Amino acid sequence: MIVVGGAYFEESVDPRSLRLYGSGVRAAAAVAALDREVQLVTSSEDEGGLRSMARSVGLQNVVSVEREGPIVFRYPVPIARPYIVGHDFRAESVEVDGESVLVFGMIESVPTVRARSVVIDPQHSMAIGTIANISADRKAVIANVREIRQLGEETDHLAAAEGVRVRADADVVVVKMGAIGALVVERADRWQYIPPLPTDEVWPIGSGDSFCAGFANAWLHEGASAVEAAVAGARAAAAWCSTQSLPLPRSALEPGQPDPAVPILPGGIHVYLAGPFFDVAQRWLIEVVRDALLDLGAGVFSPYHHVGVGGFEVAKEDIDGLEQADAVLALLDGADPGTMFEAGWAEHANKPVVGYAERVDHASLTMAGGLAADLYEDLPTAVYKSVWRAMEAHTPRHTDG
Amino acid sequence: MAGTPQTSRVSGGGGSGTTNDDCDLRFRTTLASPNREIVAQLSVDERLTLRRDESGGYPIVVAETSAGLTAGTIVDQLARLLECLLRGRRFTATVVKDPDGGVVVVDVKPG
Repeated sequence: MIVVGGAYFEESVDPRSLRLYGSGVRAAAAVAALDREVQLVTSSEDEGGLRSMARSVGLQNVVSVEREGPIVFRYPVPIARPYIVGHDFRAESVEVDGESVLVFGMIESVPTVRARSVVIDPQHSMAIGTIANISADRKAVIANVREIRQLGEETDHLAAAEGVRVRADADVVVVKMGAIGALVVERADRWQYIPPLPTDEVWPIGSGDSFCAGFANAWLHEGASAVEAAVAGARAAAAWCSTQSLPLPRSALEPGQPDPAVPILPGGIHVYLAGPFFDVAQRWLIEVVRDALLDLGAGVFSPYHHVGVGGFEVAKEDIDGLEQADAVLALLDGADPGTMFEAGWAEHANKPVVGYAERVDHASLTMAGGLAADLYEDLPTAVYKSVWRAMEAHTPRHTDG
Repeated sequence: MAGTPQTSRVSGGGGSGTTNDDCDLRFRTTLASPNREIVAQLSVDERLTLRRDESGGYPIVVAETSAGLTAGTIVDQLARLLECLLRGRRFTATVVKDPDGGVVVVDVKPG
C-alpha cells in the first residue's frame, strides 16, 4: 500500500508532548508491522528528521518532496481544536501511480493520484472536484460529519454522504462520527452503523488517521467488504487511542462484523455539561469541552450556553436540561456547589455521572467520588467516557440533535 | 535538526516552570516499535537507558534494559533527545505501569 499524506508536528501543551506524526506518518506506521512494503509519500522541510521518525516506528520506505518549512498542529489540550502553525508553507505536489493507495488531504499541496483502488480522507483540504478527479477502479471516501456535510452541501449527514458518493464517483462513503461510531454508506437507502469500541484511556489526536489506516489495509489488501473494513478501522482507532504505540499489532487491524447495536446518529444522545463558569479559565474549559462533545457526536446542554448567568430563575431551566440528558459530565475541580448539586441530582435520577478533576480533593469529592460511576484525572478520557455512558443509558426518546 | 519546533517549558518533579537547560527533558510517553519478547519481561519501576542508535543510516533513540536489550524506541521530543544525547547528556525511562499487551508507558528524565 502507498500512503500519501502529511508529516506534521503534533504538539500538546498539556499534557506535554511533541511528536512528528500527521496523517501520513501515522497511517503508514500503523500498518508497518503488517505491510512491510508500505510506502509513505509526503513532504518535509527536514528529510533527516522525517527519516529518523519513520525508522523509529518501523517505516522504511519513504519518499519526500521539499517543503518550505515545518507545519505544527498545536493543541492546548488534546481534545481542543488545534492551532496550525506554518499553514502557509507550500510544497510541490506529489504525484503517485499505484495499485492500492490511501490518500489524505494535505495542507501544503494537492496530491495527484492514479490508482486501481483508493481510499481518500480529504481532511478539510480537498474539494469535491479534486476527489472526483482521482481516477481509480474502486474508490472509498472517509470523512467526519462536518467534512461530509460541507462536501455534500447538505445538513443531513446521510443525504450529504450520498451526495459525496455520487459527486466523487465513489463506491462507498464512510462517515466518522467521533465517539459514537461510524456509518458505512453504500447508497442513500443502504447504510450500516458501526458502533465504537470504548477504551479505558483515550488519546484522541490521530484517532481518525488510525481508523483510515485500518479501513484501507482491510479494504485494499485483505478483500474485506466496506463494513468489515470499517470494523478494522474502529479496532485500529481504539488501539491507537488506548496505547499511542505504533506500529499497531495484527489483532488491531483485523476486519470483522460489527456488533449488533441500535444506531446512534449525530446529536442522538445528550450530555449535560456541568461546571463552573465564574472566570476566564473556567469559561475556556467549558467552551473547549462543549466543542469536543459536539465534535464527538453528542448533543450538549451547557447551562452557560443555554441558560446563562442569572438568579434563582436559572435553576428550573438547568433541571429541565438535566431531565433531558442521557448522562452528565461534571467538571469537579474546585468542587463548585452548583456543579455538585447537578451531579447529585443526576445521580438521584439514575443518570450516569462522569466526573473530571485534575486535582482530586478527596475531602470535597467524597460524595461525588463515592457515587459517580467514573471519576477521571485525564480530560479526553472523561469527555469520551461521558459520551459512551450516555450511549449506554440512551433511550429512543431522542432522535436528533 | 533544522526546522524542528522548540519548546522551552518543562514540567515534572512536582512542579512546572521554565528552564534555560534545553536538555532538561521530563515527560511521560509510550515506547514505539516495542520488542514484545523483551517488553514482556519488564516490570514497574524498572529503569531503561536511552541511547542514540542508527537504523538504515538515520539516528534514532532506543530504550535499553540493563542487559543491553532494546525494548523499543522513543518518538516524543525525538529531535531534542537526539541532539542532547549527541552532546553527551544521559536519560532514563522508568516503567510506570505493568506492560500490557506490549504497551510500555515510561517516564523519561535526565539521569
